[in-house]
Amino acid sequence: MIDREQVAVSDKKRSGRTAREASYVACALIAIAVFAYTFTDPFVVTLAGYTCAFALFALSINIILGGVGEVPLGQCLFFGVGAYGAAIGMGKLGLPFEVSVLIALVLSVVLAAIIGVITLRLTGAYFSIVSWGLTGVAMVAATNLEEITGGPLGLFGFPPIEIGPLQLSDPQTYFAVTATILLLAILFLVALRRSPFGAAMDSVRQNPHLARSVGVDVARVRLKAFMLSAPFAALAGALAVPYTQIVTPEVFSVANTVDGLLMVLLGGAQLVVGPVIGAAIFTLIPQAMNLDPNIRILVFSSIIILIMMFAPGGLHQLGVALRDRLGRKTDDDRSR
Amino acid sequence: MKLAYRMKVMFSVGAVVATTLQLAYAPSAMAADPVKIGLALPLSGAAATYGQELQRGAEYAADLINQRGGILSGRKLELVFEDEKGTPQGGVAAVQKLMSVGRVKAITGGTNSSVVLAESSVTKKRILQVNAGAQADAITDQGSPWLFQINNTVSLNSEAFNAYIVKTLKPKTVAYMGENSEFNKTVLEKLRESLKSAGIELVSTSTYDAETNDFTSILTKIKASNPDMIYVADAYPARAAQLWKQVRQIGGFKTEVMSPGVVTPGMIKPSEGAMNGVITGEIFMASDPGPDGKDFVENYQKKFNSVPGKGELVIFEAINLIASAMDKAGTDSDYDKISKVIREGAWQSPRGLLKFDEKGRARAPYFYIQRVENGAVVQLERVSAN
Repeated sequence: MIDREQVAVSDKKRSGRTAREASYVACALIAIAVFAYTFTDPFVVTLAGYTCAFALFALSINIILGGVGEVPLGQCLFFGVGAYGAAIGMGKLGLPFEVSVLIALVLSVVLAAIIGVITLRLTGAYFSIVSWGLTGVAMVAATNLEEITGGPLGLFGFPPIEIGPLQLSDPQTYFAVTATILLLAILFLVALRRSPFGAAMDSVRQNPHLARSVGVDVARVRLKAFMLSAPFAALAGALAVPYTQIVTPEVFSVANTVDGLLMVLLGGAQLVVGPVIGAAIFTLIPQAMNLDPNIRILVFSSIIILIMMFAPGGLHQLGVALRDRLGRKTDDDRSR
Repeated sequence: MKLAYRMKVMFSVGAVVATTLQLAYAPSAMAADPVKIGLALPLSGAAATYGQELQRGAEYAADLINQRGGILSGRKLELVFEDEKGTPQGGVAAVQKLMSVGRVKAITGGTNSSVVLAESSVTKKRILQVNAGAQADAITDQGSPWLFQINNTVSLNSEAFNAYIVKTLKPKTVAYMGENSEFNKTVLEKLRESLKSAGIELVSTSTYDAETNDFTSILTKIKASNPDMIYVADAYPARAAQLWKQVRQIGGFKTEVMSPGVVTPGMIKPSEGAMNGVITGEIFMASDPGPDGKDFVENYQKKFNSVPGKGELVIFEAINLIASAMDKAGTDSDYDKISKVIREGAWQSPRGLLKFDEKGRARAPYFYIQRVENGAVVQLERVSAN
């Protein structure tokens, strides 16, 4: 009897949650459409599009950081593979953008499998440093394989970038496409986090030894997470190309990963949309501050320090605290 | 109820955000506006010193033009600065912001070739862009009708300098060493061509990566081949200074030259005398500016208490070119007309008359051959390009 009642309650809860989440998705879709069609200023709209692309990269970093608890300093390797993949496919091979991107995604997964097998036996700082080192290798390769990568000056001067009938050179279309892809990625990651594999990742992050003792194949989970994160980063890199219009060996710079990491930490690693919030803050606030660039860096860095001091779990903590203060029921489900 | 309340809150928050954004980015609608010129410069990051030089040169140029009464019957010039952070994505954001938020009528700036290449894809056929400093040939090879370049391209500089090597220095054998960069690739290519056509032997070529700081193995190898002349191509001051110190340690070479356009006080000083005797080339020399540049150098010195460098010069020329061409064309936005005027005219500058070719490149009116002596460059020769 009691059991059945509980099941009924949790079923009710679940259907409530589904309805609520469907409304979130609908809201997000409306927001994308409204934003894309009310803002005509190409600067704001393309920057928003690029922010969505970079948020994908932050999501990719968070699969590793928030997922299995490693700091993937080398994640920009996959970002670069995506960017170069799109650029080489379009510029050198004359393939359509979407085909080039698909090839790059597959390549990134293969690369992640190879690198993962070698490096994921390492943990903590060792993993971070080795993965970072690999990006150095990639940068040297991109600088010197001139026939393929265009050398130090990189690849540029692409034909108009389009996905089927969608012209990515049009700011509004670019934003709509990147935002929709970002939304799909978020939905996928929410589902992933709730799946048994998500639980396995959680257990690996919290205590790998305990996870192993209860039968979780830690190495396998870490490898799968790594291979899963790679195409997200590659997709982000490819979607950044319509914005940057040039791909240089600097895409493999660790500064890119650090930007992504900051977005994750700002928004909160334990929330699926955390990195997206972080990305929005990270790109929009500096642009909105009309200050001398050096003062801007100073102010922005101070803001980051303050956020890290008062909301070490990310900005969404402030929202949660506010909600609790206002007497709303606490909701332990942080998987959204 | 709850859901409705939440929706209401969401919508009102959204509305507030939307209005604030709209307000923040709304264009100011005023008649008789000043003519706005946008500058995308590296104002933060590793290249910030270049950005500051260019900012100063640009402000100086705009001040002079406004003192003379502005352009297009009394409209003042207004400069809008935006930080491009020295990265391509920074450049794209800066140029887009300048165009849509700043409402500028022309874009200039430019120190890093990758950044200008990225920017040029945004400005192509949309706005006039004058690249003041970046040197890659690829920028103007793209064939954008409204894109112009003030500084010599790498190949123009190399051709002028190589002519001096071949005709005046006349070495029998040459050894080349340089950083492996896009920039130096063109330098080496042009050097190969010139030496070959003059029948001079290039006995060895060595390249090194950006992280290198010990050059003794390369230098020992070069020393063993005993060339008449060593040609060093490296644009990074601290590393080049180190390189020349090591050249001294192994006894030096009969003739020593450095790729044109890279020797700066910031390179000579840390070399601590090791660069004395090194010959190089440059498009401008503040110590001997020629008749047209005398006023520029003297007035600049009076105002800022420092000698203008190449950065200040090229942006000064870029601002003047944009202003005079708009004035002469009688429009600030008919870019076909402005570009036609630029291509057909000859433009007064501190270096003499500037003329632009079909690709939009200016060729430096004079090319200066210099030698480092006692921590400064002295002029050996001034070669006219025409």
